[in-house]
Amino acid sequence: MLKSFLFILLLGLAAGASASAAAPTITAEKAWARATASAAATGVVYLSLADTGPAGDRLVGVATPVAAHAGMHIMVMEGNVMQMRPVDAVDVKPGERIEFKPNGLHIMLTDLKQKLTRGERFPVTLDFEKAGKVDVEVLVLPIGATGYP
Amino acid sequence: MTMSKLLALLLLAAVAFLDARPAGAHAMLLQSDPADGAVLAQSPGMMILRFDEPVTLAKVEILDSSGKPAGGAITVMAQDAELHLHVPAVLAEGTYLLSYHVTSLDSHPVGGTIVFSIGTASSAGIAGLQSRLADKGSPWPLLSTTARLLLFIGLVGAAGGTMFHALVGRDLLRLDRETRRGTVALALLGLLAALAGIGIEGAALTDTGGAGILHGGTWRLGESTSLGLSLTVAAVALTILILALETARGWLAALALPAGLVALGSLALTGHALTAGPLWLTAPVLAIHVLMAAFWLGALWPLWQAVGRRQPAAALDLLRRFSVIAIPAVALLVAAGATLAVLQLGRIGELLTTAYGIRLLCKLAFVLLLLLLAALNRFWLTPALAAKRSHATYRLRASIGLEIGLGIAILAATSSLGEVPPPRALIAAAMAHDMGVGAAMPGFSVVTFEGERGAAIEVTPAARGPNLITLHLFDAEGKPLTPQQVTIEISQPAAGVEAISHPMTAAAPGFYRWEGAVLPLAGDWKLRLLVLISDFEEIRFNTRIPIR
Repeated sequence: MLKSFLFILLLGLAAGASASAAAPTITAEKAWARATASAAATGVVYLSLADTGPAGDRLVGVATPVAAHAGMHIMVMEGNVMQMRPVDAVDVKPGERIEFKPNGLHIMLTDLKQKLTRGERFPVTLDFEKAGKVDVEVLVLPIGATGYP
Repeated sequence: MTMSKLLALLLLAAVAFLDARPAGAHAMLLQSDPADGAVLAQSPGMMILRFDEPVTLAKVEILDSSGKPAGGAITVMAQDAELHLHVPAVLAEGTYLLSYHVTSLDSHPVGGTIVFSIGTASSAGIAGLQSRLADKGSPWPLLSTTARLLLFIGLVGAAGGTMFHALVGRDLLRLDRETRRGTVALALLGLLAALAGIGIEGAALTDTGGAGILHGGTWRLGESTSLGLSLTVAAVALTILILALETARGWLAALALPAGLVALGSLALTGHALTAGPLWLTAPVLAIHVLMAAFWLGALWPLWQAVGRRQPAAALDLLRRFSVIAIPAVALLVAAGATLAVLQLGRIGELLTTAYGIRLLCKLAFVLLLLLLAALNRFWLTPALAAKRSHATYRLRASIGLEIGLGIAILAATSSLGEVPPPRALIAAAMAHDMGVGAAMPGFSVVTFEGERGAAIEVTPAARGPNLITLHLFDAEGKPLTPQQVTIEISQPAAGVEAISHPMTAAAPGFYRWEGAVLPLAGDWKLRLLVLISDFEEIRFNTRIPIR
């Protein structure tokens, strides 16, 4: 009786341990996009990333069904000129919160397949080095929006 | 008549150029022994470079880590598509750079470098190679802008002037000597600038040294581009214009105006503006913009002459006739220009935030000043001449002289626009990068944060050998950081390469460049940034970059 109980307890603990080890520590939230005019071919998505785990991770790719291509970019100043530079990877250190926001890091969607209408939602898949693919729901805000409400 | 014969020859040569085969055929290095980044146990007596086609050697040298020539007098044997280099001297332990310049079958210059080490890959040796691979400023962008400006002045002065003489002066076939000479001189300027521009384009594309412009292959490369085509058309048309102005034969003289129009039209064959939108829109709009601008600016010198030389009555008659055509022409010019600007800029905000936008604003400021002067002429100075007021001639002439100066400034601003990509081209380049197309620069970029502050690091081409590392440091609001000092450390512990330290100098606030960072081995390189914010605060960024 005791042996069976201990065996089941052990199994349960092992299952619980492996489950928590597999649980992703990356969180992606407050994802928002600006609504687009009907003829627009490009859109932009902003969000907030954090990693609660001990090791940190690296965002290496993005994809979405609403656009043919998606990529990370950052706006940087070179003298008095603002440039948009492509970004291949974003480090997310443990305990850090990374903000994708206007005039900084952003996800650019090119070749949009549909108009982004205010109020609607669409998914974006973030590809992390360790955590793998993480889905996040993006809320479409008015054209002139500057941040998540 | 000798002038005409010379020009006819030039015309034939240009037409022959048009037949050149495209320059896709330059040689490529397939393999080398030692391989790029290799670490050898001992000094190589023989090195082999294998290309994809037979090449002739122009120059080869081996440099040690301090930039001094090493290896002694290298002798080269060509065997099919391979070059065998015999290195007589024994190379000591350390890191070396093999630099080669060869010419392919079509005389296109090709060059490259191979980094190799003997013994161990020493970071001190690698660091020593930085000075050798320091950024050599390229002269080609400035030469390209200058050639373009001279072409504009020649085209506007000669073709625009021809339009004036044909449509306003109505004396194109009876020009006086001085006017004819002046117009021909301007056309010649444009012709030479167009021809030079073909070679400069080829040189700029291969980023060759000064001597590279003498290679036939460079010119054939320039010719094969859309700019090359546009310049050839301009050159041919300008040649016909010169011949038409200088001739006594009626049928040839009648070609002057059509030739001038074709020369101006050549500007609509290439350029950023052409790709800004659908071709059926951009090509005609650009052509209209160019023709109207040439008419307006090209009329200034003839008008200046007329006001000074002729009787007031004759001058006033010309001014009136000019005005009648000029007002709708300028309206069309502004409308066409506005259409093109809207297509090039994404948002009005980009006028102030992009390099293209600022140069465009400069041009618009000059155009506005020119319009004000034109209004001044029309409403005050010309009536004053008609009313025979004192000094009216002098004042009107001075005003037109000022307009000529502004016209040149506008042409200069326009030619400088050609060097800077318009905002939508930046978006297109970003798109190309996302799609993995090599159109944008190959490389790797990572953004990493330390607390509230961030660093955006780009390594180009992120392959073994020399790399360009750029760095943008910014605060929580995205504004550039201006620390006291920034040092970068690169290392590859897995391969035993200890940290190479390099102080970074700012090219602009928060923006740093290191050209010629040699990363001789593939794999994951650790990058560390030591940023001295103040005497009391130093922040460190740590990240890694994969190198192919």
